[in-house]
Amino acid sequence: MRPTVLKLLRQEPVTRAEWQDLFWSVHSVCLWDEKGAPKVHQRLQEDILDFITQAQSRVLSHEDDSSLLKAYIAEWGKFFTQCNYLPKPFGQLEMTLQGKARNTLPKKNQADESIVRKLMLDSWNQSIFSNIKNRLQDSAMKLVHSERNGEAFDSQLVIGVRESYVNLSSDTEDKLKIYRENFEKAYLEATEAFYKMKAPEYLVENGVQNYMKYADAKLKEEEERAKRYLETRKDCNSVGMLTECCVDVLVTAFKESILAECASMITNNETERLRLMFSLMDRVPDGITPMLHDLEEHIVSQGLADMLASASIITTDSELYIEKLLDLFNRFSKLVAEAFNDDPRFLTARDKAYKKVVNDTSIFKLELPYKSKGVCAKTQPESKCPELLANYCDMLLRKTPLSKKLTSEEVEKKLKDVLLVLKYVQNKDVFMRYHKVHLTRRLILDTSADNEKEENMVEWLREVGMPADYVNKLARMFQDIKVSEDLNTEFKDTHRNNNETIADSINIKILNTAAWSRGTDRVSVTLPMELEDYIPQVEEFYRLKHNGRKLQWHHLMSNGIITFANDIGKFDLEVTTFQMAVLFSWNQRTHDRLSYESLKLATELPDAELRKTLWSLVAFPKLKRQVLLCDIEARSPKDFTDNSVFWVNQTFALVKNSKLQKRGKVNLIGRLQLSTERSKEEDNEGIIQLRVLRVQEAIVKIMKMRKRITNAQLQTELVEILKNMFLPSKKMIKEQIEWLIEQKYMRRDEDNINMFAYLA
Amino acid sequence: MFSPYPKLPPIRKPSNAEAKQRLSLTMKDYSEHKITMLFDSYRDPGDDEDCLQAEGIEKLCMHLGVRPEEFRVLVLAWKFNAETMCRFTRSEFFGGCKKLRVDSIKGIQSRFPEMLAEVQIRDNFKDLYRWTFKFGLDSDTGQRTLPVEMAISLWGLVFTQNEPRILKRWLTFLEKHPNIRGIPRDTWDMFLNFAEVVGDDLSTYDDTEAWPSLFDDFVEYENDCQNQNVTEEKPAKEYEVQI
Repeated sequence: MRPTVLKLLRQEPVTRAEWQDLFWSVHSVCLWDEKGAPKVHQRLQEDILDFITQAQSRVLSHEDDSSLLKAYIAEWGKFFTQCNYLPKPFGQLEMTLQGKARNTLPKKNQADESIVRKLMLDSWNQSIFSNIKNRLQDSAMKLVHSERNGEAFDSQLVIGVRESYVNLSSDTEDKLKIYRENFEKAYLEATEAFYKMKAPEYLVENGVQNYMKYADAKLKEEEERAKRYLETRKDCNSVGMLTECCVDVLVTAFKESILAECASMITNNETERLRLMFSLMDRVPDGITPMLHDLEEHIVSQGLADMLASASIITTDSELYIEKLLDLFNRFSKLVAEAFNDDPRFLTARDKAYKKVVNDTSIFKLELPYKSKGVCAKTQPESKCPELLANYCDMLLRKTPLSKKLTSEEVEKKLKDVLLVLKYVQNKDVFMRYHKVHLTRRLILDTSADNEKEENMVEWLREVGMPADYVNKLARMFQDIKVSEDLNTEFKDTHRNNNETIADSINIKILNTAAWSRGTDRVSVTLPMELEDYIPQVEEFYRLKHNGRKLQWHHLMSNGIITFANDIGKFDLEVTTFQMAVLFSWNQRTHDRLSYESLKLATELPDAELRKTLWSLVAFPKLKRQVLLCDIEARSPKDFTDNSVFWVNQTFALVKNSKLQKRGKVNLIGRLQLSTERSKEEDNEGIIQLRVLRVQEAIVKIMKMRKRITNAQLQTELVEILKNMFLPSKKMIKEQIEWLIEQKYMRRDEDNINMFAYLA
Repeated sequence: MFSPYPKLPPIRKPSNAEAKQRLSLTMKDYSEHKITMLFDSYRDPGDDEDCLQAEGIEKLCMHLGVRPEEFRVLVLAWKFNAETMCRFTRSEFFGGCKKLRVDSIKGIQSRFPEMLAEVQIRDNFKDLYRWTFKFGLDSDTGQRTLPVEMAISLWGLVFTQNEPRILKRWLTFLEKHPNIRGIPRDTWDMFLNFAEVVGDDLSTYDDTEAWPSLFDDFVEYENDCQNQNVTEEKPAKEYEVQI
């Protein structure tokens, strides 16, 4: 047998007869000689070892790394091929050695499990491999190292070594054991050592900016390399481990120095570099967090700085303010898109920071009087943003120079912008209130630029999550206006037959109190007789149509056009009902001089309202010649006394290009006052009162559902419910909880002060 | 504070009393008749209601040798489970005396040390403390919150035996802020917890916990005072402006 075996090992030609004889010999030895099998096995082992020793000395005769590797790979190649052939003739031997139990079992993967094969591989592993593996590895790593340094070499050598490691395993459980414990380990170590040395050098020599490029390039390069030299089969994670190792040594080690650059890069808008930093840091655990922080800080400080720089303009001009805000938003969004690829984490950071800018109170603020039972009468300042947003919105929806200048699409775009900013506003309820006031004015004075847009806006507000009851009221307002139009036509039809001319020019608006309500803001006034006469008629007319509904007259909101004639000409004056009442005092006595006191008697207007109305007629800002004249040089409505005397300006006229006009129309209404002086303060208080109610309502709702809840959880859920209206202050929440405890809606847990329970 | 009966377990008492009560069936150490007599001797006969009014109570206190605004009187009222201040109804008085097993001025006097020791025990004190709130309310007008002046004096009184270290600052704070109208029950009850938790170190106060808002205000005020090193007068001036 032996000569044939040796021949086989040496890969020398073996004749068919010799090959078959070997089968036969093995077979007979195993069958005839009981101790034959172990003997053959032992002899075989000796021969294999012998062969391997020779091979080893052949390999080791090469000094040079590369030829050593070559020789080894060649020897290994041959040996490995023989590993597939040599076991074949020893089939009988294996059966005998393994005992009879094996016979009944189906033989699976014989080649893999073969004892002879195992013997061969183990022997190789024990002798040659153990002896020279360090040299082998070193040589291979040296090659990789020189490749890293840019020298070309035959990559097959490294691959060959790796393959020998991979195949050398005879362990069926874990085939990659030898590979992993030796080759992979060495590879990882070598890589780490290489960059541990190189990376700091590079950083010192070239600075962080360049280093990031270097690191990025090297990471990619190493990944490529790893794919070539490391085992890539499915269940083997060598490449992943290597990448991790590279990230550790190339990025994590220098995390601090890299991140230190982040803030200034954001400030300088270096999107390319930021993108690079992002891709590097995203591989490092917690690497992104400081970047998010830097971004947030940048947005807040930049946003506020910008606002502060143009504070004098934007505080007075809502258009500029909103445009500034939008400009900031677009700038920051662009940064996030370009540098961070709109990564959700960065978008969240942007939102968080932008919210701070929008809700900032350092440049200007809205003071809401919060009458708390508590100690400090401190009001909590809030952002004025919602008020200005509402003003801006009004400018777009009303007939104004701005809305006329813009195309329909542009207006729509800007309205959407308003909604975008609104999303970040915390005190949305303030916006709602102001928006509604503006809408009321537009509807009553019929000054909407585009009715369709008005109604679209209502729907958009609904879409962005404004509370339904609020949006419904707005919708109801439109409905009222439409219904009133039909009503007017009918009213006029009935009265036209009676030949009443004034009836034709009357326009009634029947408005639902719940939707339009402006508190208890009704002011009594003596109407001109001509109008007074129609009040019962209108009431009767309406009663016939809708029995049981109560009508209340809101003269404060109404207005009309009167014709004013004097020596110079005839003019149409658009006036409020109050102005009308004041002017009608002169109707029968055109040239009389009337004292403040007698006007008060005639109109029955409250003092504050009369002053304001007179002021608007004596000192209307847009007029060169005023409608009324006064005997004192008044600087403000407060300067009028009971004895101040007023008379109609007989030389009143409109002046255009410094020429007197004989005819013309002028609007004296200005900004329609929807509230009296008194109720203005109430207005802001109203916001707070409504908040108090909403908080109570929401707490009860939560308690009803949860029955028992911790303080923290209650706060969270409360904010969730109320966030579309306002952000409840901690103090307000606490006080309402106290109120509810007091009213026995809920109670505190006996043992845990932070736990509340619902009381049905 | 040193307590003369530190280890008196509250549980033993009822059983003790029961035993005594059984005993008293045969040999009473007090007489119901005497209690009635005692009550009637202080009641204003012209009064429609069957209870002791301010005057009667004052007289009773005098005979007991205590001042009406003393802690001992508060504890006595608590023992008698009195509904409201300046009033002892017949049933309260009668029930109280029976509970104390006394029928004379001397008898009541002899129970004082025992009662004072009893409220040294944490749970008993808590009961006394909580009861004090309701005791202070003016039941005729249906009060639900304690007017602040009343609360201040009751706080002073109820903590006679062991005063929390924060109490003085707390009361000063209340006195300086007359716009605080009343103390709701929850705030009253929580003050006991508050005093226990903070001791005299307000830096341990955590305003994210569900403390009543008045404590937030208090801590904020105290911190402001400390940070700005405000002298005693300055905050006083500030509040004058606030009015």
